[in-house]
Amino acid sequence: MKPRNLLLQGILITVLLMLVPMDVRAQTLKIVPQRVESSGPVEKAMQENKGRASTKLEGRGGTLRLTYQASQPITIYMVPLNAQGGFVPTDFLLFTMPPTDSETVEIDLTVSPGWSPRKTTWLLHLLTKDERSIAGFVSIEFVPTSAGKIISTMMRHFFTAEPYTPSSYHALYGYRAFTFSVTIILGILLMVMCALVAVFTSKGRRLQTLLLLVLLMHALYGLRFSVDLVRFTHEHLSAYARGEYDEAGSIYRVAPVVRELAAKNPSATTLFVCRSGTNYKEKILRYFVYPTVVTSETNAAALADFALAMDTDKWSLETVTESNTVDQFLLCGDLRLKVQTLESFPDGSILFALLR
Amino acid sequence: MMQSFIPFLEIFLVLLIGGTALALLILPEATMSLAMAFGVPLGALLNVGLIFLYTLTGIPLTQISIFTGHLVIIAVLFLIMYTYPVLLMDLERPHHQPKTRLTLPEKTVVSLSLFLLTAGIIYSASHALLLPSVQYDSMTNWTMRSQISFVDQRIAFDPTEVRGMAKPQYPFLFHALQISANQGQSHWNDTAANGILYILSLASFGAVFLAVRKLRGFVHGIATLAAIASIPLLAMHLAQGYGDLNLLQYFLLSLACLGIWIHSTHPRRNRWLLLSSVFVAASVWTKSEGSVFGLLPWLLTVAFICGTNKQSWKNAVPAIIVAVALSVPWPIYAALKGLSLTPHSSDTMLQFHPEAIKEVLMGMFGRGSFGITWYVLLLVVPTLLYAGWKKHPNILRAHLPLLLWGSVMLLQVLFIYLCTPNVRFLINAESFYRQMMIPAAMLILGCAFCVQRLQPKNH
Repeated sequence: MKPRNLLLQGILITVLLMLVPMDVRAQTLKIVPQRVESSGPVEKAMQENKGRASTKLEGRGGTLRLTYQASQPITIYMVPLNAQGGFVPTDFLLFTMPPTDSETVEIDLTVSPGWSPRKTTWLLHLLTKDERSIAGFVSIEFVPTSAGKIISTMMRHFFTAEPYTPSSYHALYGYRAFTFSVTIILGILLMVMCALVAVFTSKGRRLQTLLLLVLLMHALYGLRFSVDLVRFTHEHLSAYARGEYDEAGSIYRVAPVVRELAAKNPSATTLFVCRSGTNYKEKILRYFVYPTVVTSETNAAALADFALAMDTDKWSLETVTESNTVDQFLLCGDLRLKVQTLESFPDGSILFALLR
Repeated sequence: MMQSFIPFLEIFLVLLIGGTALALLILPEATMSLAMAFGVPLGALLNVGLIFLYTLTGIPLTQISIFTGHLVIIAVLFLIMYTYPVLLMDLERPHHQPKTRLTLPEKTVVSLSLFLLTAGIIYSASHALLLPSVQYDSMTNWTMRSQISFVDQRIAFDPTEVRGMAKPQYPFLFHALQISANQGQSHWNDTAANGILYILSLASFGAVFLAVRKLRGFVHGIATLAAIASIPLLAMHLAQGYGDLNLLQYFLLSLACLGIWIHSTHPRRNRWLLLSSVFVAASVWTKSEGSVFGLLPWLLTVAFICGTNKQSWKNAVPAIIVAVALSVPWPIYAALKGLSLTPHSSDTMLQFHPEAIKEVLMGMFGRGSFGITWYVLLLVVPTLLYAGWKKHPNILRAHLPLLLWGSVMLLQVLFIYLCTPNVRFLINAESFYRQMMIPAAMLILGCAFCVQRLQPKNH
């Protein structure tokens, strides 16, 4: 055989051999997890799912290859831990793996803003609906990341929006790339550049150049933040148009309804709120319906005229049919209040009239 | 919509006319646009004065009483203007400089500044005017108190949170403005309440821009404004909701007037100092911190300028008297009413908290609230001081004392959060950041005044 043909044959065999692992990999399920921007949903999911376990994994790589078996779908929340064992609540990843006898999945870890090319410990919460479900990992492997992927991930991290809610803009966390603070990176860069200016520019131009440099660097950070300002504006206006706004949910839709009811019936002065968690939404409602009294005190419920059921994990509705009448009861903690549904809202809140 | 807008417009015009009339009487020389920009914050001060008077006398806060009060103020101011025209400011014509071409760096600075300001305006205008109040503190200390006062027709000093308001010890310039803006509305109008404060912010920052432009030119003015407004946390506060922004605005206005006072050669230049004293007094009526971060460092700065720049103490004394006289009624009234003068009762328990130093450093240099502002200031302030000491031709040595106010305030904030129980508001990332943005902005403005205008190329 001619050397040329031998060479072609060799190349062909090599290509075919390379295709074999690619074919195997093509059968693996690739999962791009969803980012979870606060620990609230994680805590809620942990409460709702009876079957749960936690574990830690350590490794270096942008993809986690898992071979597992499970009798039910497994929902996984995972977050990278820092050196002190803590985590940033906005770094959580969420994904669900289907039930299988044996399946290999590849999870893109770079989606988390807390991912870095360094060796990282990950905290995993594995959740299933049922305590009796059987699940286990057959193999766990961190797959190394290419240089191109590292660069694109760094850019993606830099353009990840500030974790921020308009209800309490006390402080901003700042941008990160591979867990490093962009503020610190830019700050140090600025200092180095200023030192270079001080050394290498003529005395006559030094001050002017230095001032221009700091102004431009300050503006550079501002430009990045401007992207978020515009993004926040779009998000908040859209959410408000949908009937929800930030942590306030549908309170802004509830308020005019309550005001109208209070105007029609001036003797109705109190609204009872059935809620869990903070009193934030209650305070907003109190502001927007003032002087109607808004309270979550259970001893005020008996005297209230309306009730607003806000957080679904706190309340339920009981329907009792007797002879020809159907009565509804709002169950809120230990309270059982006879109610009539007035209106439902986009965030799941329901406004009731209290019946006596 | 129109039914809500007309009464709002009426009260705005009344505030603007009253404030501008006062500006025309206080200012020595300025353009009409600068006088009008100063007019809005001055109108807010007149408004709180009027409502304080009504609070003392028990006159209910109604549309009639507030409008009549403002009309009387306007009439008195116009009467003074008519009787003593000599008091009126000299109208400065807008500068008609020869056509100049901006250098490439200047063009870059102007373009970037305009971009940053546009993004800030998009965010702040939409959140202040199109979206409802959402901030937790607004629902208690600020807008909620305004609403309760509006319904009561008197300033509310509820000792408990039963009706939803907290911090009755806060002075009420913010609340008074929101109450007045709501007169004529069928019920409490959240947009009117935030809208009037947004106008106050626009006018105040506009006045700061015009003041810097007056001394250093357009490029300098727009760059200063953008540098201040693009401090990330400050950009968010422009959406309104907290009193800290209004406090900062009055500090900036007062500092800007100090800057012009130092620069001015007008025979009645001391009126700039007088206006500065009026603005610092307004800060005392805005938030409790006005006395600590405003009046005290202002007195120190004026004393320093008089001591080092051969400024006559005799010229400064009337302004100092005005600042103190306009400021003290609030703390006296609050003390007589048994209200605490600090937001938290434990504020005076001193103890150093070294564990918080790391958090301070992270807050200033490691996180996102200030971007790289503190790195910039860490580089620029010492550089300007050194260059001033070396008599660099681009540094205006007479203006260097303006850096004192921001520097003192920085030390005050650090002291409060490292040496008092307020350390908890640093650890839980609350008020520390809001208060730290104030010295940052003050130092930026101070730096802007210290640097000589960059000379554009002649065409």
